[in-house]
Amino acid sequence: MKKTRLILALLGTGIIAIQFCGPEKPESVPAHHLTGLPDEVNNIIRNSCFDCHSSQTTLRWYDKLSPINQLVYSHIQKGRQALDFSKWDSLTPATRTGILYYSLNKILEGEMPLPSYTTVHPAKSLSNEDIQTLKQFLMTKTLRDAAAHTPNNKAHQQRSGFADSTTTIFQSRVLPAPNGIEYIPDYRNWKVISITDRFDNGTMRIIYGNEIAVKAILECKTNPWPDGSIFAKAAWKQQTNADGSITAGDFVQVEFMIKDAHKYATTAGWGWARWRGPSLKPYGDKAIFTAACISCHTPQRDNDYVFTHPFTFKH
Amino acid sequence: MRYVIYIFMLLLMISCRHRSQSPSVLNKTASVTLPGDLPENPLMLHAITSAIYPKDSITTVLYGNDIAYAHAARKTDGSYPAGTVLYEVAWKQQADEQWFGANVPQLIKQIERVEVVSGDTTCYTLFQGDIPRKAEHQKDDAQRTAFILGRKMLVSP
Repeated sequence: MKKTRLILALLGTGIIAIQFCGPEKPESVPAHHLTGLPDEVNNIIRNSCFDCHSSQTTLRWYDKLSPINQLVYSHIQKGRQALDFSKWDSLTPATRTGILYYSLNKILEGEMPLPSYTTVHPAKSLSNEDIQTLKQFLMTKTLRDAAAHTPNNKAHQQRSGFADSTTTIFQSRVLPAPNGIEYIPDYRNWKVISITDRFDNGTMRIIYGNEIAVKAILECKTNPWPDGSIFAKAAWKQQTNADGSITAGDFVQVEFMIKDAHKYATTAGWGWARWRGPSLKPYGDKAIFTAACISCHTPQRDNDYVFTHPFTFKH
Repeated sequence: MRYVIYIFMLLLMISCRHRSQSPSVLNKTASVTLPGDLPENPLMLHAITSAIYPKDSITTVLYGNDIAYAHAARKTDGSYPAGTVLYEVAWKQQADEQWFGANVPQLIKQIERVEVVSGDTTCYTLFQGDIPRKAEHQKDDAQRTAFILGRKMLVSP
């Protein structure tokens, strides 16, 4: 009995002691309403996102207790680094829309707000009504409308120069991605396994699969995909024509996923790479750029990190 | 000995779990699963270009055989050589369950086939239905043929 009391006393003393040497509390500066958003949308974001994704953080008394505050402050720091709504006014309208769509998808996937955060702060959870409000608002903000009736001359000039531009790229070597993955130039000769109309960011995408990927589809062995499977997802800007139809404008980027469970064991079994723009500039500064790829694809972990539901090719 | 068996069984379970295949998630409704009257599966050919018709929630891909694909990469005047086969596949769109803000193909609405028999002679065929069957010739066959032949290849570096 005496021993138990002694342990409890020591524990209590220890907990009190660490309250004086915890981590530095994150600064909190009032953040303005987000320009261009209706009040109901602003209120949802302010309530559920601002604590970790803006300069305005409202901490409860229990958030400040050590050692819990280690975790809380770390989340706030990382959250602000990933997305800071306080910088909203410095962003372009297209970037703002992209952020809102991305954020809503993270909410729908159940990743945001962090479940550990809403467990302790249940009032920060989004209701179904909140989600419907965000959806309805975002459906009015597609970038497709912004691109309506844009002149087609540049894209038309590019189309005329397809063969020439292909030759040019083959002649000048494309730099590898920061993780060492080399560009794969012949993906356009692969089979199309799906297409996507991304009206959220005004692009149209074609997803190509190499021979190994197509064989896996034919054999219905795509979960997991066999080593050697490669996908190329190419994106073009949507070009809205006078009759309302949409055709491909400028080339935006091509992204690759290369399956090798052993070689890419540290990156979910896939090699990730992206080249942007007509100059095929490798995306990312350091090899760690793949963390963002994996983070985005993590909700699809039960589908081997692949979003695409491919066509079948059986006849 | 008993522990060796336990460890062996544990390793076996881990191994089986690692190798086992989960069900494939394929978009069967948007695929050509039965040939019907189609001479080949257009989805196995080369993709030349794509378009979206938001008013009707339709998305299309123009496919071509080797001759068509090679020609489209070099020339954009629609003067395809004999032996060219093009397919304009049109899908009804559906909201992408994986990503709010995207549409993906739901099911095939129709497939148009244009074959260039000779320089001036083309053959247009329309296929419709869950099992693609030749449909009645439409009044705008010539117009559709000209449209399909006139579509230009997607540009990528």
